[in-house]
Amino acid sequence: MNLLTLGMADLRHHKLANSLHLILLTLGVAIITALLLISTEISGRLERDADGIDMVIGAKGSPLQLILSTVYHLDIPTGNIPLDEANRWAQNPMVAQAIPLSLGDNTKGFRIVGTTTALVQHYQGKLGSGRLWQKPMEAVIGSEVSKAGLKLDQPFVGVHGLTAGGHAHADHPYRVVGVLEPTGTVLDRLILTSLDSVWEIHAQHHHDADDHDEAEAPAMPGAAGGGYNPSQEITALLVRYRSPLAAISLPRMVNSQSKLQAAVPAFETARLLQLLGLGFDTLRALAGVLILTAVLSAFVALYNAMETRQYDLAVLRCLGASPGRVVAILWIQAIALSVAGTLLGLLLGHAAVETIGRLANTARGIDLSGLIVLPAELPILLLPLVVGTTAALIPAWRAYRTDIAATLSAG
Amino acid sequence: MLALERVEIRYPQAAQLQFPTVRLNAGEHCLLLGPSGCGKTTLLHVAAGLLTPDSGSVRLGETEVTALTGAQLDRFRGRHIGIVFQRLHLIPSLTVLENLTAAQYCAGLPTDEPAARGALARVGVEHKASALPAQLSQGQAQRVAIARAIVNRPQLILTDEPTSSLDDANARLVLELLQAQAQECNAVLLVATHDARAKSAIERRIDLGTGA
Ligand SMILES: Nc1ncnc2c1ncn2[C@@H]1O[C@H](COP(=O)(O)OP(=O)(O)OP(=O)(O)O)[C@@H](O)[C@H]1O
Ligand SMILES: [Mg+2]
Repeated sequence: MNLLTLGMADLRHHKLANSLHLILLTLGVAIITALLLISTEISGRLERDADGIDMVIGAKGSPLQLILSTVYHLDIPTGNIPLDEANRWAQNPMVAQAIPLSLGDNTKGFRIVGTTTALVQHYQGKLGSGRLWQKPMEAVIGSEVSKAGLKLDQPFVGVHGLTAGGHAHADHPYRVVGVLEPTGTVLDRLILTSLDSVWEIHAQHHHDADDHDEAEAPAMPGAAGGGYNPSQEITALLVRYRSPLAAISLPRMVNSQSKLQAAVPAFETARLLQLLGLGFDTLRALAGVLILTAVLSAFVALYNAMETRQYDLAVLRCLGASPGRVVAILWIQAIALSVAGTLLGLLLGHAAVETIGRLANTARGIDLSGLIVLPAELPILLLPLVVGTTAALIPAWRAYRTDIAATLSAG
Repeated sequence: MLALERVEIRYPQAAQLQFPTVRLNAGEHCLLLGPSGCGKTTLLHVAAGLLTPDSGSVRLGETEVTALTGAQLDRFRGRHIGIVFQRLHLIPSLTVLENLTAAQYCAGLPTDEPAARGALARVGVEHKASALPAQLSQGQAQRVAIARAIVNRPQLILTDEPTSSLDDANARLVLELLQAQAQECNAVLLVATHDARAKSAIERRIDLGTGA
């Protein structure tokens, strides 16, 4: 027999009411945890994908769309640009590295990206098996793609467009020659091949049927497999500056001196997060309201319980318990409820994010994990102390001041 | 030994109550009689240290109860005074046995389960040790309340209207039980009642109505 058994026995005795307060508190904490995880993981992922890419040169249009389509591979591209013009910028002395990208096809919803092996090195991709591509129609796949069922040496056909279900280039099968290990970046969801492969398919295809008027398709007919042919087109150029000074002048030069567009991922990502931030803030406010409701209900619960418990507590006083001990019992109850609510909420929040991550994984690119713990979650652990103490405050004060004789006579 | 000397209580907006001096020796049993509203319950509360008199003093054994305050008073009450309320006030969330061990714990004594079971056995409800108060009959609950009052072997047992809701047979049983347990602890037993049936059981009486 001790204060804990006394407090817990009473909590158990009012199971139903206490479960309701527990659920409210759990939901509030779960929502805050999930929001914290999701917003941190999304912004972390966006930063990792754009890491080392100072500028993207592509066709004119929305700069956000250009970044989304070529850095995060989420949107459709703004269009194509002539290779010779892209090359002119790639050779600019302010440019340290320029990686060409050519988009247009997919298989099973995974984008086929014509590029150079520099892209693999950029994301520090390591081959899990096989080798990098050497000839046209050889492809290296990311870890997510291989999880979705593509195997080494397996042939597959590209489908026109960037989402599943378009026209299949059945006469030009690719072959998987390498599988990359997971990198935690967008690379995991890409199928990489040489620029020549993309050009070859679309050049051939153009002779067959003239339905390639979509902006994202490399549309120039011409000799395939001949390296960087001046008449070819690419979708975009991922640029790394030689020095930070380039940030001041290079994007402006590209935008003013050519028909091309330069977009800065850091800037566009910040803009995107700002747009999303509005949503996160709203949800966070909602979670705050939920937690407040939970605190309030725990408060009302303890206060109401006091009404019926007046006698029990007065009896404990009669049996010799000091006012301090009676207050401690109430505090233990409030803390027990809120600790349980907080821990359950953290657990539920993580589980929810992990579930969302697993369900939405292949569909939406940004894979969420509930299995990580953030330093920002630490303040949440302080919550029960604050909530519990606040909720116990007035009932405890009442219990402390209660007139035992009057209470027992009234009862 | 219980001594209530010239105790006075002034309730706000109510009559001032003046009590006669009461001196009872250890092991003495006494009825507290008087019409409704004469102050029987009030005097019991004063004797229990639940109500501090505006003047006068309360002594139990060697201790000046009226000089104690706060947690000291609570602890003294827990150790040396057993109370059986009219409404029993068993703690509904604790089992019968836990109600007794809680009494030990609250009094600052070590939890002694065999002693608690012994107290239950003496009033004949040991078989209900793990039942909740709500699962007891009225008579059983009354016995448990008596067991809880005596589990710490108090010097003073106070009971308020212990028989008012009982039939004749049970009323006699409860009074016998109270007297037997008080005797066993050599405690002062003070029974506040206006139940005529009690008068045949206990000889010594203080009538607040007449001031005798
Ligand atoms: N908390 C209180 N505040 C004000 N007056 C009170 C309070 N408690 C009791 N009284 C008054 O003090 C007087 C004595 O009350 P008490 O309860 O001691 O009577 P009693 O003898 O026990 O009566 P009963 O036989 O009906 O139980 C009554 O007049 C009552 O109105
Ligand atoms: Mg009374």
